[in-house]
Amino acid sequence: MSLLRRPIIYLANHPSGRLLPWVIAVMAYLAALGLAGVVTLDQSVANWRAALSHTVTVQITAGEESARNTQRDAVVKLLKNTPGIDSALPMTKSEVKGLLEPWLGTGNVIDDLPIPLLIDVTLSRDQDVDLAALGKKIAAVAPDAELDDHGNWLQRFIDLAENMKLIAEGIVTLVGLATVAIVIFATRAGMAIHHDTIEILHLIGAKDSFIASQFQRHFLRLGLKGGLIGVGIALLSLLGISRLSFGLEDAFIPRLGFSVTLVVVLLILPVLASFLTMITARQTVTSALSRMV
Amino acid sequence: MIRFENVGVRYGMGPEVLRDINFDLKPGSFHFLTGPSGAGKSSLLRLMYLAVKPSRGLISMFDQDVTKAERKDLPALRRRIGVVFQDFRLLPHLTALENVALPLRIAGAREDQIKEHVAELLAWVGLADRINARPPTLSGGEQQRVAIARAVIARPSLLLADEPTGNVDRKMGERLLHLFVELNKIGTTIVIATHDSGLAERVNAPLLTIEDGQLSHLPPPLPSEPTLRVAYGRGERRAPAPESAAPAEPGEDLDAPAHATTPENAPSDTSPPDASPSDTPPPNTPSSTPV
Repeated sequence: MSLLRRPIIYLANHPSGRLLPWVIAVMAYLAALGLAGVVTLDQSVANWRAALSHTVTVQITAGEESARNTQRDAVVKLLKNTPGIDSALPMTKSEVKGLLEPWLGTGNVIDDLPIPLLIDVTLSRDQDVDLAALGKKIAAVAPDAELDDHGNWLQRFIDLAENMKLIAEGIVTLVGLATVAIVIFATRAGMAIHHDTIEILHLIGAKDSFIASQFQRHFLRLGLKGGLIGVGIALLSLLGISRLSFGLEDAFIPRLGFSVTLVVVLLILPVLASFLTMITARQTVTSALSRMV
Repeated sequence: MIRFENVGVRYGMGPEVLRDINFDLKPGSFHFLTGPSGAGKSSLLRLMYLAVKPSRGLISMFDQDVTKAERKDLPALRRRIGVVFQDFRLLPHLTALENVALPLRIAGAREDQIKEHVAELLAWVGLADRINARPPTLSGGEQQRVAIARAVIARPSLLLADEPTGNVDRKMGERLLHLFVELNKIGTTIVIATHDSGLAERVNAPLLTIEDGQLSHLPPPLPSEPTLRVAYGRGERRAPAPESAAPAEPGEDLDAPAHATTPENAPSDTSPPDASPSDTPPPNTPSSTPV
């Protein structure tokens, strides 16, 4: 090895060299899972909003069947003549039963069960529709009809997802802080062990930045090693979760998919881990050296 | 070069270990620092190599008031000072060559320059075949020579040595002393802390004697054998010489230039022992272009 590149402070045999990469790997693993959760929830919320924000449902729940059919026809006619409505499709009785089957079981929806008439309405993406005004118009032609924009239902899902996202972000932040604390302890331990070497370098004219560079190079390597191990294991875990969730896409749960965002985040994470480790080590060393004469 | 005015040092709330230290070492001078153990020699050296700050007083080095200098300016001053520690303080995981190369690496020298100069200096101190040895495998004397080589490799303006010949035999002691003298001839100010009165006699340089934390200045001791000539005491504040003390060389001019003595006119018996083709210090080491 070149004389100039050979480390002056020999940190390789320090316990931190053996243990720290694994500790950082655990931290990187947790951070990767947390970030995957954040990205997935973020995408799910966006998908839910996109899927439901242009869909409303009209349901007619009361009255005799013939009266409900009359009201349904009136509503469909009204909707088809309303600007901003792409389609208004009444759902068949079997389609509505199909919606109930996940809760009541297949074949358990008896014919006598009063089920509402539903009209699936798709709003134009190019034109805003005043849903409040539309609701009043519908009420005028069909007194037993209700316009449901899914707002309350969707909002609860979004609130839940946003809170879970906040928790995941909190976990990632705590993992980052814990990593910083661990690196500070490891760096201080390294400085204590190599105190004599540091003092000699200091006394023969080494600048703080020169001494810090000895530590930062070492900790950069450890951080990168730990980050790669942790993210590698996290990748395997996420692939497993993704495989298990395959086929559940119709259910209303966030589906883990390897989006570009998630892949970029996972690729950046080892680099971030190594830089966080390096900068923490550098700051710890320069802070300690500043107390020397 | 170095001026101390009313300098005092105390550690924590303890008593002053150095009191009212006053001296002025001119550039290119050669001094010995003597005194009994615990008198404050190490504390005085620590002040001089900027490891501690004084509790009071003024220290001026290289025309800078180091007591008021900003911390970021101190590394540049330290690079002008070579230090030979009594316990060597070599880095055990580095080879002799790497240890000696440290000051040059810190100064940002090129690798080819470093290797050439360091190998040459190590050869001169008799360690040509030990350049790849690590300190734990070196004898005390070898470690001491590596420590001295590290202190002088960057051609310091000031060399501070704490018992630099304490672990070597007489022959090697003289060889190392010769290196210090040669460095002094090219302008390096030398201060050697020692208990060895014979060493001071051999060089015939003035003494800084410290006792109970206070410093006194004495002229060179009377030599009992031929001396190495040095450009000592040019204009330093000297205590009045006792009547019994006499200059080492009759009529020696205290204001003589630092290079008054040359290898050619130096006494022959002051040449290093184990004469070799490179008997004088390696030209590249103390006298070559700084790297």
